[in-house]
Order: sequence, then structure tokens, then C-alpha cells
Amino acid sequence: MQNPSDLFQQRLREVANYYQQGDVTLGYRRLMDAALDTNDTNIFNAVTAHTEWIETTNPTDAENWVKSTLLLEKISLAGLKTQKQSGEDILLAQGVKKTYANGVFSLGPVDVSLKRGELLGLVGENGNGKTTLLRILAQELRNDEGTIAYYLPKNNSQYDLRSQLAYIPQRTPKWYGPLKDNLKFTLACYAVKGEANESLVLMLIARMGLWKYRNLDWNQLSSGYKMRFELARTFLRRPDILLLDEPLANLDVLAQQTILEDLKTLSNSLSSPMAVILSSQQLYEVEKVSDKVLFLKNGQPLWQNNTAEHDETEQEERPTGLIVEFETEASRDELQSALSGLLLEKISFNGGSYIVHFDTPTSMPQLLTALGNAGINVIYIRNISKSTRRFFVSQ
Amino acid sequence: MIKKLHKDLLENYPLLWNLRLPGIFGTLAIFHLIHFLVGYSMYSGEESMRWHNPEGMYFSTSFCLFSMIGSSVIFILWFIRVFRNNAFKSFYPIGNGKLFQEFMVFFVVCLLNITCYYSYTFGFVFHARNNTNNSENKKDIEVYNSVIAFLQNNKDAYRLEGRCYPDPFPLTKRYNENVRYAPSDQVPKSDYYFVSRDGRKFSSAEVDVLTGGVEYSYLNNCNFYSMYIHNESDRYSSNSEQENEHYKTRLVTTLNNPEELKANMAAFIKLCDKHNISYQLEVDDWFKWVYNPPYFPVNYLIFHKYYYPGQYPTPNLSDASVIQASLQLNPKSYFVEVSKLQNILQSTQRAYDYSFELAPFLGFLYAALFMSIMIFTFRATARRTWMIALIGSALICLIIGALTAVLAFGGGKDGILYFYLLVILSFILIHFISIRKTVSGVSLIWFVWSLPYAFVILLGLLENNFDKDYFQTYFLVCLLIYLMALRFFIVPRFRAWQAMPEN
Repeated sequence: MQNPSDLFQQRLREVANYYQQGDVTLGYRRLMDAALDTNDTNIFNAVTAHTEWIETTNPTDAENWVKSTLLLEKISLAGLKTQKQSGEDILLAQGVKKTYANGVFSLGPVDVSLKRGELLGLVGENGNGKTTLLRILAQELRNDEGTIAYYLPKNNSQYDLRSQLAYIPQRTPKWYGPLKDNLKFTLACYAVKGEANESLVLMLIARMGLWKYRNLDWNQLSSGYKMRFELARTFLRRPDILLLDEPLANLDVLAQQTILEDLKTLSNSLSSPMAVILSSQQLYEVEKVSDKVLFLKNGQPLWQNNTAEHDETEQEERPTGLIVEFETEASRDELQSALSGLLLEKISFNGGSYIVHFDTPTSMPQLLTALGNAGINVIYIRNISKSTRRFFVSQ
Repeated sequence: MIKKLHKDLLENYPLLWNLRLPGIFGTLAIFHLIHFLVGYSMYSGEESMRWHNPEGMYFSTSFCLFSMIGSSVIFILWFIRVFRNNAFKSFYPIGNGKLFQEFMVFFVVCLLNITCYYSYTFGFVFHARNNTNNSENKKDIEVYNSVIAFLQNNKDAYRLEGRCYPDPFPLTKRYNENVRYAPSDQVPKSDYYFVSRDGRKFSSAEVDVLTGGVEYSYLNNCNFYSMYIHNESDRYSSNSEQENEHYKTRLVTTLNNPEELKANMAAFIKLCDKHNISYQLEVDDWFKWVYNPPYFPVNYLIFHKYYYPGQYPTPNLSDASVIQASLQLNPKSYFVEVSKLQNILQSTQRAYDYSFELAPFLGFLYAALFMSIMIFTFRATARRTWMIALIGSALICLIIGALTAVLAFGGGKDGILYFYLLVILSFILIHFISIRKTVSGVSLIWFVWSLPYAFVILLGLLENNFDKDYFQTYFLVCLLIYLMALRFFIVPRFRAWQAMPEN
């Protein structure tokens, strides 16, 4: 495992690369992530001043880069201040079962293991037990069977345990009063006081892209920004385990991507990494950022994989070949003809897109070559061999 | 400055910021100041003392209603602002100490909110003291007390039954067994007799010898306790009998000293002039009617209010013989506004005697405790749980009431009190054994609500005849025990309950 300080320096170099390649917005977000890892009030103040400068002057990329370089140097000098180590076990749930009193629905048995810094995607259709499992893991709901062990620093009482778990329900409760005051109050309750309080709150407001909105009221925010403020508040709490129920619901595609990316990077924080469990129906997006994916169907864990290590632990028959989903204007016969040279197993059409199954050793490059050679115009294509998507399309 | 205070509190003292402490304390300070000023302005010289008793005037004016409305509005607005943030329910790291501090803030705010009465009364008393002279008022009271026995406008005050000296008086009138009911004035003297306190019997004729046959005499006036103006210590340390004994001695002394009597009457007339009391009375006439030794018969009653021409005497003055006699003697109608003078002197004295009394304050403490418990349980539990507890408590009261009625037939007071204690303890037992969060929460709330009553029940079991001092000490000790129980037992239970998973 790489040394955190080396990793920190490597991230700073990545920031510089983003700027140099013109990805200024991404670069600035990563710069702020690195600034957060310093836990240095002076750095926070410098970053928020920089944000204010960007928001008020709208500088060119070159001007921005010049100033950002200075900031990067300061961040590099301040260095990483590690509070928690990623990779350590944080949650182990075994054989968790829950049956509701009316007996209509039953969850489990489900096993979940999670390390600090990992992100677990919980996917499945509505009514399949995602919220129930999340609430059980958040200690909001009592499980009938099974054990749940939390390896957390403060575990004296149930209240202490729950203060280290942050559960964000699908419908976030309304905030009252100025948004910034709410964030400052949260942080003050966690004993971050005085100037450090103000600096960190502004820093996180800047990081979450909420600078323009910090003085608004809750009712003036869109759903996406409400969720981002809620996430900002949760990150200020620095929980050990963050559980989010459908955070992407009612958000546009861009907002979904931003929030997922924020979740990924902040959970991977070098100074205080946290474990994240996220439920959603946005399969592709969730799979893209998750270290692990758990697919629930009728309360049962149908499929679970570790996308980071490509270590599948399937409970259904494992697909061995290539499965591809794509959209094209070509007819089924044209498609059949173009792919005839490959080890085609079956083609199915769900009204919008084709799902094509190939036997091994057919690969994605071979498929693309065949489609290109046949002159077939592809609108959209995705390899779903290892995606939970294949369970949805196979129905 | 307000912004800076807001920022400092928010960043450094989140609990104080959340509870809007400077805001509510500032508002309540202003509210109390307003009450003080209104109370201060209510004193407008002697006229205000005529109508108002300093201790009770707050409740007798319409300002009391405005005060209650204002108090409620302040409280509700504060309540709304406080409930905007709840760190405890959000599972921020709030310890038992912080939670208890919240309760104490609720308690203090509730107490300040309901005690504006004191500011109002202090305002009035303060102004009254600054505009009157205590020693002068005491002298005026002396003058008033020295002649009030000769100014009663109720003939019954001078009846023989009221006489208490010399021996064998006081005597109790008894009717012979064969006497049928009739107005006492119409019963023949042969049909009743008198009995002294030591059981000696006296016939009407024997009593006539002792009294010279005078039924209405100034010497009989031994029960004028209510007309006298007492000082603060008399009101609480003496009983009316001791008081009467004291005034009776003075009465006899005065009647045996005509010069002093006349001088007192003259001083009283001057007192009326000084306080703008309406009267139609002349010292010489008054002295002439009163000073008729040795039996001092009452021949004339003096009105206590204005006498308007053509106005007939009030019924209690219409004793035919007395009125006729007096009218023959004095064709003019005499009057003195005695009650006005009494109110002025008495209220002025009360303004000086007024001091903080623990007993009524305990009532305010109890009310504040009740209110703060309600708020605290609302804040520390779920809204639904609290509402169920509130509605359910009515049902519980009905059931307990019915069972009390059953117990009342079968057992004594102790049985009922033990039953109440059992009910209260069962709440905490249910809280511990129930795995359903709502049931556990409701029983916890009921326990917290009913615990103060447990002390009252224990008081009933321990002491049958408790006096004021015992009650005050007991109450304060119980309050302390309750707060300790809250800090070290109940608050941790609320914390545990909040973290409890639902079923």
C-alpha cells in the first residue's frame, strides 16, 4: 500500500496536470480535496479567498493557473495531516434478516463487509429491500436475525455509535434559517470552534460548489443543491460510515455525476476517509464510482461483486462471455450478418436497445471491429458483462 | 454588536446559540422591565391605594390579560426558533450534561416567563414607598385603630353576644328546650339563658344587671378584628382572638379615659382631612354619643359612605329602635368614608411590608417545572411519541380515576397512594422491558411527567399534618432530588431511547 504522504504528493501532481490540460474545474475540485487533507485553517482561508476571487473576477484559465500554482505550493508545504487510516475494517454484517410484521416483505439473509474508504453501491428495483438494509445498517431499524459489528473508535453507547453513522434519507428534512449558520452549528457541535469553524465551513461550501448559494434559504434551492448542502453538513460531521438512500433521485444527470464524484473523492479523503453505502437505481453511475456493488432482488442479495479487485462472488450462475448493450438504427438482420463472424450466442431487443451475448473468447475490440467493418452506425454501446444492468435487461 | 454576538455564540457556544439564550433573556428582561414600569405607573397617589392592594392588583387589572398574551407570544416565538435545530435528534455528539443543560435553560426561561407578576408588583410598591412615609402611615393607622370601634355601621357588632369582659363574659346564649324557632328578637327573655365558658349559667335578668339592660353597647364590641389595620407580623403570628383581646384592653382603657377618647376622635377627623376622606361628623356630637358611662349604649350608627338626601339606611342599619332613637337625637345623617381610609392606610402599609414570600414562589417553581418537562420531553423524543403520550395520559387518568374509586371503597388513603406509586413505577418498568420504541418512549415520558407527583404522594404517605415550613422544605428538597434524578438517570434514558432502533 502506498504511503499516504506520497499519495498526497501524487494527487497534487495530478491537480497540476488537470490544470495544464485545461480541465480547470476538475483541477480546482481536486485542489480543494487536497486542501481539506491538510486540516490547516490558513490553507482553508487561502482556498476560500481564491474561490471568492474566481467567483467575482471570472479569470482566464491562465490567470487561474498562476494563482492556483501558488496555492498548490502552500498546500504541499502544509502537508497531509492524517486522522484516520483507510483500509481498516469498519463494518461486518452477517446473516442480517428482517421480516416486517405483516409478513409481506422479508429481507436477507444479507452479508455486508466494508472497509474505511470503500464505497458500496446498493442497487435493485423499488421495494426490494434497499432502504430496509440501509436503515438496519444505520441502526434505525432492528434486524430480526444476524449480527452487525462496527469497528469504530467511540463505541461506549448506542448513541455514541449512531453519532458516528450518518444516514441521509431520500427525503432530506428541511433546514431552517441561513444555510451557513446550519453548517456552522453542526461543526460547533463537533467542537470545531472559533476561526477554524468559519474557515472549514466556507472551505466545504466552496468544495461542494455552493459558494453562490451560501446565503440563500432552503426553499430557494433546487433538489440537487439541497442534497449537496446535506452532503456538506454530513462531511462536516466526518462520520465513519455514511449511508445514503437514493441520493440521486430527482436529480438531473449532471447533478448525479457531480454528487457521485464528490462522494467518491471525499470518501477517499487521505486525512479522514469514510465508508459509504449508497442505494440507487442509477446502475451505470453507481457502478462507476463503487468499490463494491450489492444487487438486491426480492430482499435477497442476488449478486455481489468487488469492482475494484474484479473479484466476483456471485450467487447466480456467473456469465462467462461478453454481454453488450447497444443502440443502433440497423435492423436485426443487418446486425446478425455483421456479427456472424463472432461467437454470437443470442440477440435480444427490448424495444430501445439490443442486448447481445457472445461466447468466450469474444472481446470488445473484436466486436467494435466487426461493427465498423459492416458500416453499422452505433448510437450507444456498453459492456454490461460485469454490470448489474444485465439482470434488469434479462427480464 | 448583535451580529458579533451571534457569530461568537454560533462558533463557540452552539448550545446557547441554538437555545437563542441572549435573545430570550434580553426579551424577558425587557418584558419584566415593562411590567415594572407599568406597575410603577399604576401608583398615582392615594387614589390608587384606595382601589388596589399591592399584592393582588396585578391580577385585578386588565394588564394581567395583556401580560399573559405577551408572555405566550414570546414563548411560542422562542419555541419555534429553538426547534429549528436539534443537535440531539440529529445524533451530534451531545452528552448527558449538555442535554441536562438544555432542560435547565427551559426551566429558567419558563420561570422568568411566568413571574412578571413580581416585576409589576415591585414597580408599584417601589413607587408607593417613594411617595409615602412609613412612620407617618403607622401613626395614622394608630389613630384609625383607636376609634374604629366607635365607627361600626353594623349594629350586630355591638350586640351582647360580642362582649368578652369582665368576668363572666363572654357568654353564650342558649334557648330553653321548649322554645320553637322564631327570630331571636322576638323570643321572650324567659325563654333563654346564658352560659359562661366555664359552664356557669346566668338568667337574662342576671345578665341585665351586669349590662344595665343595654343590649347594644360600645363595650360589647370585641369582634372588630376585620376593621382593624394589622401590621404584617400580626397577620401571620396572631389569631383573631389574641388580636381582639389586645384591642379590647385598649378599648376599655380608652373608654375609661374620656380626654384621650376625645383627642383620638379629633385626630381621626384631622386624618380624614389629610387623606381627603368625605365625612359629616363633629367631634363633640360623636363624643357625646359614645361616652355614656357606665354602660356606653349605642344610640347612633354612622354611615360608612356618602349619605345622599332621600337615601334610606341600608337594611342592616334599620333596627327600628336604634335608628329611631338616633334620628330623634340627630336629625342630620352622619357619615364617614371609612372603607376608603382603611384601604389607603392598609395598602400603604402593605406596600412597606411587602417582601418576597417563598410559599407563592414555590407555585411558580412548580408551574415552571411542569412546563419545562413538557418542552424537554417534546424536544428529546419523536413528535408522534409525545402526542401519543399526551393523548394517552388522558386515558390513563380516566382508568386510574376509576380504579381509585374502586380502591376508595375497599381501602383507606394509604392504599390509594401506594397504588399511585405502583402506577408510576410501572411506567419505568415498561420503558425498560418494551422492545417497541414507541411504547418504550411513551412510558418514559409518562414516568418523567408523573415523577413530581410521586413526591406529593410520598408527602401524603409520610406526613398527615404538615405545616407551611415543612412543606416548603420538603418541596425544595424534592425539586433538588428531581433535578438530580433527571441529570443522572432520566436524561441518560432519553439518550438511550433516542438511539434505539425501531422495530
